Amino acid sequence: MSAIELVGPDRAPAWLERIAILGHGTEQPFDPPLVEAVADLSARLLKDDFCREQPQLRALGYWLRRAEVERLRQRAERECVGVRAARGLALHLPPANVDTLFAYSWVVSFLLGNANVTRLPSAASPVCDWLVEAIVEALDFRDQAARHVFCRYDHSSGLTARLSALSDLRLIWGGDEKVRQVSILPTRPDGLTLAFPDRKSLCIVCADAYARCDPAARQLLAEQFYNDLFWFDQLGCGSPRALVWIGEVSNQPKMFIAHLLDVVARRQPELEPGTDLSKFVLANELVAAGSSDSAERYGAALTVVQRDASPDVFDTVHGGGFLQQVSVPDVSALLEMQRRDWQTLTVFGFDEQERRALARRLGGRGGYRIVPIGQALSFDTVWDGIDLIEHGSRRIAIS
Amino acid sequence: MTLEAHLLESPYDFPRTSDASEVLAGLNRLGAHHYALCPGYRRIVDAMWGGEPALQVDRLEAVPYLPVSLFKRRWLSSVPDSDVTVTLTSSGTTGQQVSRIAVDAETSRRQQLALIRSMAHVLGKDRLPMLIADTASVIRDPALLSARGAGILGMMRLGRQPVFMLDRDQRLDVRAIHAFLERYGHERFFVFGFTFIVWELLRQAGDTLPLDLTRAVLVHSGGWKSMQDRAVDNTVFRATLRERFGLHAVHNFYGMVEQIGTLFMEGDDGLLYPPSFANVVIRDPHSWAVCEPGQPGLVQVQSLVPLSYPGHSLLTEDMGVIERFSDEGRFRGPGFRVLGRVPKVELRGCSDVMAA
Repeated sequence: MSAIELVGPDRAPAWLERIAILGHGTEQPFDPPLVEAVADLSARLLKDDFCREQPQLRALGYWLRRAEVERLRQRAERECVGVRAARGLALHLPPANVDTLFAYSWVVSFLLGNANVTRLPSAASPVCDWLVEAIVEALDFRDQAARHVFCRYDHSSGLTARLSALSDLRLIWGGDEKVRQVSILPTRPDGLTLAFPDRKSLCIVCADAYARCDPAARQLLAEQFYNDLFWFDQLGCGSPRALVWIGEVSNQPKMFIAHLLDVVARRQPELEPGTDLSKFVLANELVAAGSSDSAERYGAALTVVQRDASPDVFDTVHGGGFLQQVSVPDVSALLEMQRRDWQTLTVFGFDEQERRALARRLGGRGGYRIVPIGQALSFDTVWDGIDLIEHGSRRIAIS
Repeated sequence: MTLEAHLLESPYDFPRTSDASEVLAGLNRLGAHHYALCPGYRRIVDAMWGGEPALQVDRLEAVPYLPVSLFKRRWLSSVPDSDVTVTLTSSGTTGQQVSRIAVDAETSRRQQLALIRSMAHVLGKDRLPMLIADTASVIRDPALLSARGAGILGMMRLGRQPVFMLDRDQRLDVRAIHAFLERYGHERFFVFGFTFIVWELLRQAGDTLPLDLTRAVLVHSGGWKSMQDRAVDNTVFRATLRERFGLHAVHNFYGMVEQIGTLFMEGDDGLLYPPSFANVVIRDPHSWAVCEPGQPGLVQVQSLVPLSYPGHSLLTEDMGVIERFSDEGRFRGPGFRVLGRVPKVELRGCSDVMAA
């Protein structure tokens, strides 16, 4: 039997009956068999030949290492007064394209002792399908497979509504419209919905700090920025759409782009002429409209468009190496661009105190992660300002 | 030599210098013209091409170019809106954005002139009896008057006694075709239509009645995409029409609504040639560097016709290849083939919709 269940209308009633009883388990958060199953999966991801060519899978394997899971366990314990318990049945609705995201959503919930139903995107992807097989194998080995369902079903089947009604926890990943459509479907009366709608991200670089870097540090930074920019076709929620220079700039942007182009030349990202043309159209459009006074195509991989500091910059959507460059005198000017749908600020040249100060100024009005360049797309259990460990479990108060 | 003189000559007979210096001078002049009169074009030249020096270049391939799809996103005009007599639109399928092209009286005149002179080169000076591979509905029903209808209307001015091969119900009008051939089949006549319709109709007609096209001149356009689905390329197309109907004079042309009037016309060797007031450049699909002959790439088209909008140098989304330079015969200059569209790429973010 395939690890992914295809649920057609004829099977749906019996299938739902099976799901309905999954919520009641005896698992405790971070029970040893759960931790062991994840460690097995991590080892497989770090070793398997298939993953060698798939950086997303290696990143996942790394994230799931035993030491990382132990760190999560300690955090879950430390931050809990009383006893932490599973929440029950979790329904995961991952996005269509970031084909490993479902695994992060699932694994946090799994480690907390929940039963899980994960609806996979209808379009099969080799990475996604391989990963589900690997997960289910790891679960089978530890006798843990029964409470975890990975499925595909037709959107029009009404199954999302039926599953929602059984859910203690529902995680909706995707666009605003998807969140809207799913949110109106009731969960269990005490169920909790965590929604992760459209987000937009940016990179901010302190011009002074960059000027003080030696070439090796600039090169390293370019490598890290390259990953942020090109993974997931630059259309992940955390992918930078804008590069914002803070402070007075002279030739820093030029140096930054030159180093980035070195990395592009070495790594040779896969690029379609159609994407390149469409970036060229957008650059011309912005310039013709007077929204940019400088734009340059640096070969097929990268088009850079100069923009004024404005929230509108984040309305411009184009993946595949389309970078909007903005220059502002200080953080106050940066905040004039702030939007509720900001997610990740990858930063360079801000020490911890400055990062904290920036976070306080963001003030929950947009911008929920401040991380070093290179970690734009790394997953964390605090996502979009929501603690997944806290919300994925229940606390039993004792006094 | 002015542009007017180029156009008034038969465009394909005009002696084309190897560096096409007349075209280059004209393109430089047009660049300066649009820079002065079209604010959007000026911004693009300033922001992306280094400003005014880009309007005085010494090679055709150095002339700044706009992506052809830009006309779907921005209204770009070098004349006051009150002077725009026609807004041409491309034939997009439903839901697609269409190009909108600002044409004033003068540019309209130039388009006409360019079209007439180019066609005269293959049809001769006299207006020929005309057989149209389509239905009259496409020019009568305003709802259908798309690029297809407009193209047919434009061509009808060049022929006489037009007869449509399809009746109102889209059925082959065998009687009308038969009557046309009885009357005109022994003198030269003109057949026009869109490539895949011509293909279907001529074959269907040939099944029902003896179709002698030895005296016909066929001009067709519209692209090869639907022909490729039928596994018919230009070689098969030409060979079939020649062997089955004795049709020798076959001229495909390549052109687009963003450069109406400029016909890249198929010569006797099956390759497309620019008229003397136009040029084609092929660019590497990745680097956009100019390709050597034989090396396929993106098609860039240049033309001296557009005055009222900055469409004189456009990077298309078509792939093509220059097969050879011809310096003799009825068609001269770079002889190229169009290979099809650059595939559209769908990039997907996490912002998927419900159905995903």
